[in-house]
Amino acid sequence: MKAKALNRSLWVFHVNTGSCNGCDIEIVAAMTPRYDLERFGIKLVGSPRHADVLLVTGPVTRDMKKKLKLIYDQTPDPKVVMSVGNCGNSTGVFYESYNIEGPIDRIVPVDIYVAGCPPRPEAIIDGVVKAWKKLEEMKKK
Amino acid sequence: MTGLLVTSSGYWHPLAWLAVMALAVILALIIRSFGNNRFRKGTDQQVPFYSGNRAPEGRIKSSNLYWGFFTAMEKYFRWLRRLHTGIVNDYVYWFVLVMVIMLAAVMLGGGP
Repeated sequence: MKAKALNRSLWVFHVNTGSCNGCDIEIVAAMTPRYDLERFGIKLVGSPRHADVLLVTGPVTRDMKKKLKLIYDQTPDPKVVMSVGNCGNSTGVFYESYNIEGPIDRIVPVDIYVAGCPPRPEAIIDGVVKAWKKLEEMKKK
Repeated sequence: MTGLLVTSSGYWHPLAWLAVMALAVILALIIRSFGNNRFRKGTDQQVPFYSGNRAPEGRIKSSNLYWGFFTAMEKYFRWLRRLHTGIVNDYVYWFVLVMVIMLAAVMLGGGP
């Protein structure tokens, strides 16, 4: 990794805004021994208040709009938002659905888009590494 | 050595006490420095996380964990509250009284 390493581990908070769980399963797969994201010190945390990265999946249902906004506001700065999966990026198969408020970048600013339905764990790891670099840039500013 | 008080229970020295306190403060500051200081004051970043919802008012607080403790010792706490008059003179009086008792205990307890 070319970017200067953070002086601490990168902590990620996962928000499901109405995903079918396909992306969520791939995120969990990235944490399993086969891909082992934790070997880089990257781990999922239970509260956005502890997170550096918001990893958002799903097309954002009406009920989740306010919650996603609040979770974003509760995450300390500097923060990076990652949209994982086609639903989050473009609402995917739920496009123009009556119950959808997404895509995610309509609710909160997104820094990294990871495409796929669902994206493979390698793609998610690549996205997290990009988020890491972006955080480094933010930190320099 | 100046200031050294030797009793049957051990010794007390103001410099040793200061050294221990300084060590405790340094340790506390080191632990505090591990904390997250990226929260912006006066924003939602300081609001407790409640699964994306606004935390309801009047929810059960962590202090409620001690409800049984407070209820069981209510008489004792009522007596303690009566002692806390808010008048400085009373507090100084208690301070002097406790100091006298402690000094008497040390003197009567005897040294070697």
